[in-house]
Amino acid sequence: MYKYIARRLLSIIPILLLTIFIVFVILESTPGDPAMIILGRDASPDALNALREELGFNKPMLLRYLDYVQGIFTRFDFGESYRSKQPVFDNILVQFPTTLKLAIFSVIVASIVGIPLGIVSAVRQYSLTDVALTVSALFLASIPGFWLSLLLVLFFSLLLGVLPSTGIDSWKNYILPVATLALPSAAILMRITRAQMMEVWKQDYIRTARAKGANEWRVITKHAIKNALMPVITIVGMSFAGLLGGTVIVELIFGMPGLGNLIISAIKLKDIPIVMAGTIFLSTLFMLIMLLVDLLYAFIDPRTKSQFKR
Amino acid sequence: MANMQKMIRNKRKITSSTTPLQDICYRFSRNKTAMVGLFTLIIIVLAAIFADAISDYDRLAIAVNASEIFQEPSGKHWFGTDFLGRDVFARVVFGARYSLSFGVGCTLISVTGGCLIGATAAYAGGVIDNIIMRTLDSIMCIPPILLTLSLVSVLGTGLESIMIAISLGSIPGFARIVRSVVLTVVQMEYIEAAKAGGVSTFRTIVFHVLPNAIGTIMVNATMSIAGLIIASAALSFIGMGIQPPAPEWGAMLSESTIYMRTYPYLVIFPGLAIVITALSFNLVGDGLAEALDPRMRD
Repeated sequence: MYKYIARRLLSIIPILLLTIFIVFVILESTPGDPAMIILGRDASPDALNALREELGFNKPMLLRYLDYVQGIFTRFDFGESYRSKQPVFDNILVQFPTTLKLAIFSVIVASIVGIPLGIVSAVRQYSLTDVALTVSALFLASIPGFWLSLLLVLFFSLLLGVLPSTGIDSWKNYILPVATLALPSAAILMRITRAQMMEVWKQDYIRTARAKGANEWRVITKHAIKNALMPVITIVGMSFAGLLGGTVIVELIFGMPGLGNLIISAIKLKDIPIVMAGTIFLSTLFMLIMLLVDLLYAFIDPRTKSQFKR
Repeated sequence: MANMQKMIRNKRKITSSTTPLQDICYRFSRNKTAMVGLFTLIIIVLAAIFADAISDYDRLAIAVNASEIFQEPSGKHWFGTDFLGRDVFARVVFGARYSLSFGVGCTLISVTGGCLIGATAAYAGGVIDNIIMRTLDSIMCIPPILLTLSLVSVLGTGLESIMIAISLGSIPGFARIVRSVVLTVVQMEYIEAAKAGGVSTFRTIVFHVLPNAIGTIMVNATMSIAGLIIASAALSFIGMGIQPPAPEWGAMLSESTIYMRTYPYLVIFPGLAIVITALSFNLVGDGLAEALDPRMRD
């Protein structure tokens, strides 16, 4: 088991380096001269050259990449913002909690709504409830998040005036953004829980449990759910990882000072170090969460666990 | 849906003359929700093709008409008019062209890229497979919207650049699917038989492997169109995609948000257009998945 964990941990290092490389190469090719962005349009050629020298822009890209990676791994140095001259990592740490809160609340709401509905849908297979739930799940998957948030703002903020539409002053500010993010995730969780439950429902041990006279409730709670929810845990983890990088537009619409908002405004200002650091930060988190989900899955599933004991 | 299909299947006389394709079409045509999706989709495609006959691009969709701003939906302007007096219905109709070309275009790029990369990885195996797969893993770690935004800031906001920027993010997903499908198909006995019969590798791939993998690829492609339409609209909504005067649904929504308190219809109609288009693609994809599922075959 420990060997497995160690191997998995080691295996993400090359992927991490590769991800940083891809992001680095894409963003380094953004048109525009960084020295010009920092010093302004009417800076003298000498000053521009001096700054390029200082920032290392006259070195080949591969060397700059190595410097960048070394900075990240040895001192969490993601460079400085072109605009504010502040270390980018401080900026990220200030903005990240809002994004993290959004993602955590959303994944909790999505699980509370999606998983039970999936179970109901599977147990009442092909009933009116099931058809209604399946169709609404498909409908939710077809609604763009940004439009859903506009509708929610229109109804709850502008029409009824009960919920605020921008800011992060109170917990009420989180209701609409979390609803926007959680509903589509709930729909995915519902679909997968339903499929898993239906798979388990056909198994022999369910028939055995019934034959032994267990009532329906006991069959569902004791025998079916435990087995069906195993893969669902992976999907919950994946949704969480996806949500961390998927709050961008919602943060923008609801004016929340999160990482997504930071990155978007940096893209518009061509403040590349912030974009690069933010993207790398979120990608790394995604990677780590997926790894954690994998390990957790291996740990809780007795079938996988037994493979490593041998 | 599915239990109805089961009932119908039991009643249906199975004749030996049906080909697998006829079988799939038959099962698809019995799926009511999928047919509703297909029907809606045909209407949307027709509207996009004959947009010029339905409405007037220069006069209604683009030209500023100061005397007709903010008209509520009526017989003259079905979806009302916006802050420049442009007819929202005309803009929605012409917007279908953008969304359909984005959805289908991006899917074609991702599927082609995915097939090439996935099949190469599966067939090459070993180190090449490993390098390709790790690169795909890395790309998949980057949040899709951030990857698209970064690529757009490099490539610019032209139609083709946006298409490429959106497609690149979904290539890894397709490549993985194609790779796994090819790997399973390759192990089948009929492939072994083909090899034993002296069929060349190229012929094996084109005539024996791909036809058996095409179902899975088609289902995934149809399902991804909806997501890509939404992604392209989202990009325009945040101002990094198709730029405003153009009647793109996301851009229309973005322009209308400041007026939505007084004129909510301005955000309702373009949004509904996106939802209906995405939903019909999803319904068709769902129906295809069910019709192609070998477990449903009789």
